[in-house]
Amino acid sequence: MQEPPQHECSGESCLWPRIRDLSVLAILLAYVWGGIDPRLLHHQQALIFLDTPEFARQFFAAPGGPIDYLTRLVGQALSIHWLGTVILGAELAAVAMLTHFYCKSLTGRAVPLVRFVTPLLAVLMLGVYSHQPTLPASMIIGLAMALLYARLRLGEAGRMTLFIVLLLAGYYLADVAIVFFAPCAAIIQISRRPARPWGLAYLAMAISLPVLAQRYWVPYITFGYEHWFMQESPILTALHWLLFAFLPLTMLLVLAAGLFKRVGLAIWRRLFPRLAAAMAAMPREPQTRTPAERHFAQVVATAFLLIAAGGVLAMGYSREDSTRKLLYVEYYFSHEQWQEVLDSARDLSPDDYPYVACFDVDFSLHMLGRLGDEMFRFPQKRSVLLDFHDDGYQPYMLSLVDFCIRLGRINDAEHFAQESLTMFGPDGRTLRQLAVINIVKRQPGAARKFLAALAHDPLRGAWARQMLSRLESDADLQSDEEVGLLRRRMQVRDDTAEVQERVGGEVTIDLEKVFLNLLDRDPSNRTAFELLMAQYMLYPDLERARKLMSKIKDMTGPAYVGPDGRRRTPQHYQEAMAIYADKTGQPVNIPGFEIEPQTLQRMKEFQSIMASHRDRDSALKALWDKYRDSYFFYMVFGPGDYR
Amino acid sequence: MTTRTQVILGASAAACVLAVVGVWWWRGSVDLSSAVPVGRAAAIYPDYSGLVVPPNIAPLNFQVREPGQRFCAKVSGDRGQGETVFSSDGRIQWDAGRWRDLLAANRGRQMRVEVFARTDQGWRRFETIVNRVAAEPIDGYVVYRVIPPIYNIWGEMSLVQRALDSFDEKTILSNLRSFDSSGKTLENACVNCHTFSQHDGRKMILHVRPGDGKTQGPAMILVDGGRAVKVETRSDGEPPAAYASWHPSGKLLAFSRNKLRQIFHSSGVEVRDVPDTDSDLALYLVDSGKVVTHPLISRPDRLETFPEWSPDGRSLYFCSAAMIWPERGKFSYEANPKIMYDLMRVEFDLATGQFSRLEMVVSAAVLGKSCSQPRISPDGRFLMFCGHDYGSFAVFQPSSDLYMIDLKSPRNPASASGPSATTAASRIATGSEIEPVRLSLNSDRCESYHSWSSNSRWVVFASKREDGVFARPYLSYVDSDGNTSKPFPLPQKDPSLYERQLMTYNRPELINVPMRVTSGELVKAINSAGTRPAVTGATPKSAPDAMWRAKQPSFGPASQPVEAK
Repeated sequence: MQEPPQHECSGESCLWPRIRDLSVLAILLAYVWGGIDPRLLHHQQALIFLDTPEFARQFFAAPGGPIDYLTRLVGQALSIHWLGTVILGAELAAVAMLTHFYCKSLTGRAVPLVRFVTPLLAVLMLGVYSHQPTLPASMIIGLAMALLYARLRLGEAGRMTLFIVLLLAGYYLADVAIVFFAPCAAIIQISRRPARPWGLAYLAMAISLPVLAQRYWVPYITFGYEHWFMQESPILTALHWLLFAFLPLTMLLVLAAGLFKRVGLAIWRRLFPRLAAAMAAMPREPQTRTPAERHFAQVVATAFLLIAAGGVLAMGYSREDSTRKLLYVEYYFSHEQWQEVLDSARDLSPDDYPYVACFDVDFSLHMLGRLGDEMFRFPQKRSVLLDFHDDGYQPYMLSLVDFCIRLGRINDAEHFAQESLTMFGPDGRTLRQLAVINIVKRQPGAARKFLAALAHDPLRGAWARQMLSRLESDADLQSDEEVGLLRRRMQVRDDTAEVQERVGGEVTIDLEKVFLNLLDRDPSNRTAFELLMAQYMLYPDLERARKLMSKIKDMTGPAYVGPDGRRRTPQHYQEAMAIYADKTGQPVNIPGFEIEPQTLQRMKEFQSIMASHRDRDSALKALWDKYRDSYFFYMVFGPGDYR
Repeated sequence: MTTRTQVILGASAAACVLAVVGVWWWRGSVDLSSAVPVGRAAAIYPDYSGLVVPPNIAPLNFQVREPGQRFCAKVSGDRGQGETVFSSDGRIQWDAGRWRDLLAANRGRQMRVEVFARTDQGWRRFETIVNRVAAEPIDGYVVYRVIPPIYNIWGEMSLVQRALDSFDEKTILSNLRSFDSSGKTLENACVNCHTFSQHDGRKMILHVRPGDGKTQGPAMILVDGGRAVKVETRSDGEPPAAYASWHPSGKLLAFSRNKLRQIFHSSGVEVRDVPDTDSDLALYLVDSGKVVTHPLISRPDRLETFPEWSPDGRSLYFCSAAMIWPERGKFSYEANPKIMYDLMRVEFDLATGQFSRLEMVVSAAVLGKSCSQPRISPDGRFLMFCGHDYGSFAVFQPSSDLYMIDLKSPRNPASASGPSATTAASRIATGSEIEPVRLSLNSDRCESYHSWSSNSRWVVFASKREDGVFARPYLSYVDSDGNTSKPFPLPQKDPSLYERQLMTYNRPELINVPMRVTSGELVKAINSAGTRPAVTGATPKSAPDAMWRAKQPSFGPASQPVEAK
């Protein structure tokens, strides 16, 4: 602070630092675009935002509320790939810039590399997806306040007042911002001459404020101070700590190094005055570098920095690879981009293929009309169905509600959607589901209510307004094909007593009965038919599959009617019934169902290869190329990943 | 600052003020006399037309639902100064002070609202809305729960006190945000029903169920003035107190203990249902802190619930159904839609603590509806109750309507002086002689949780008439003959609030003295260990008479209720 300000660069020498800055920023942007994908952040963090006064009011009554509100507002833009990248890039640039100016204010010169480390840590944190959404913005506010504190020239009392005002304002506006601000302000205070102990008082105040506020002002805060330092994963906790501590510790080290240098020189002069004087009198050779040498050094430094940054980001990318791939599956599923669900599921590794992903894939295949032909091209487990129960994992609840709606279990869908609304708040996706549910139930008043709330969602508002307008002209949406389909499927007989069983306080649902009741209600319910058939095949229970197959005549769509208009039978159904006939010796004569000769031929080939191999492994290898996507293969080798 | 700068700034400020005044004057000076009559009433939300309104109600703000670029509404009365409001988005929000003066000047008279909308063709004038201002005021406050539609999981729920002459709302208790002096919260406890004594916010009880922390137990919180204490009403394995009613003396309250269970229907409008598999009634004696019961209100072969004292304190009304569950406390889907509650009455003598003469008031079989939530007007004239297809949980019954009986009707044996010759047994066998009236204020959706004002002229109730999902508090005038006026929703500052609000207003209760207890005091009481009175089982297992006569006096010299077990 005492040294005269120095310019980091001037004239031609400014070029390389700028190139360096821009290159690092470009790498970070590229990482945000391709490595993180802001759309996944938006999906994972489910940042709910409604532009209503009631929604705003709940944020402004508690510390951290304003930044939470702002983050949610700005966070809506993350749903657009390029815009989200620009916004996150701007945040990272702001973090770098504020770090740079803060360091410069403190030491009087730019501290090499430091300004690159903070955004690098921040981008790594973004890549974990489940980080606290407000943290980047809080960091910017904390650093901005530290810079303001450093720049304003005030007396002791003035500085103390300024600190308290900024601390209170920072805590209210962006709670965790004080974790960035207070240590930085304390270091500024400690580094001042003459030394004052106020810096420690600053830290004490910063620690006391959230504790006291949460005890006597607002005990209920979604992310209270306890959560600032403890995250759900160890890596996220480590990144948070690094972000919190990096700048203050670095600055302390820099200041301590300067102090040691000054103190060391003084001791040296005191102990060896003559030697010191003689050394000081010795002529120094000017350290001159040719322009080419300087140029080379800059290139090397920049390249080193970029390689280091790239290496760190590559590590982060690799670490979150499975999370990202799974998020893509969920993201596309929630956007009903069925083909993309399948494409992204192909990237999932066998070890990270959870049950929900399995369901998402099978359901997408069903929506594309390919479940009966392609389900064994993807990893399968013993069940394809979601259990009817509440779950604290929002994507599960969203999938479950969609599942129930498509099936025709509208009241179950309403139940789980309402639970979801209670657990996760007025998420636009849930509001949309509830609107659809109530439209199907011919409750336009309730549908309007959810649509009216959804109309205030920046992303889905247009759809909601359009639906509201349609409801004005046709309250029941009689002419809507999709609504008509769901109404045909909707369970209209209360079968709760049949399908529910309570054992020791736990309610279990007989899903088979649920599906059969749905097919009784609407024999053409393709969702119920295909998913129940898939369940029988996975279990496997070919006797029941055979019985269910009698309903195939009521199925329509490209899976059952070929391009030439002739009926066809999905491949896996043929394979299942071929096995059934082979095992029982009973021919399968079902109206609307046919086993093609090629299928029978394939089964014979399969059986002969099996017979020619004594052990399971060698049979598997022999059958792998031609049969691993068939039901024959599944029947022999069971559930697994045979991609 | 130079003189020139000062002049420029001053002139700019003056120009701004002039511009604002000019715009204001121009807006107010629109000539509406040439507006073309439309020949019908304007579509407005909420529907505030054809009403009887209290003289102390907050401004009835509304939204004009007509096409137009500009809107205007004029409110006027036979006396006093009216008001004209312009709006570009159709929201009509009256000035609170002028509204109050207008209502005060027009008590017992008519109040008119003229609505105008400007389209490309100019101003259009709709038919005048005429409302009547009642002479009798409504109580000053309504206390309700604001909760999400609850299935298995509950989120934030609040007990809120709303002033009826303004839009002021005060959160009395929030299960997430309220805390005591040590910073302890309710840990997401479920805030249940609240019951006031004599419309006095200072004396009440409140029920809570434990939240995430499970440090509390289900409890009854007794509030007297600014103090709150926890009362433990459970015995081992038996449920806590649920629905309650204060005796007019304030010395005791009757409460039900219910073994409720939630089920979900796979079809039909309402998904949820809450059957009551075992219940009976008991009394809580405030001074001694004891719980007592009596065979007439806790029969083993009946399910008793929803107690309600008559204003003179001499009768206890309640709902009672035959126990047709396969066994006590065991639910069956087959029996559930057959559970029908009758409305019963039993005499009570406060001096002796004695119950006598159990009789049926409304037979569910005769009415064809199951009865619940009886509430008697403070003047003792009318009894309003819910009638629905089956069961007792009206708020989850789309068929629930409000019915009323005239307790002073000559046909009502309870109104006759002297003891009736009809025995309880024969009355139960023969059914009611009183014909309940289905009130005109009902809609085709669920009506429930009604509450009388202290002057018996107003009633507030929770209605799902808008959408079938979210209940809103509706107000209606009840004249001396028991006729009800067109109900209207509790006015809000933002008239479109109900349209988008995804919370439900539950159990609105009118009070004329506001609540004084702080949320900190309530939280402290709820989190405390509480006192544990002597309690009885859900239904007495011992011989009724022996039990009744067994023990010591409690609050009377002669025949007293017995401290159970």
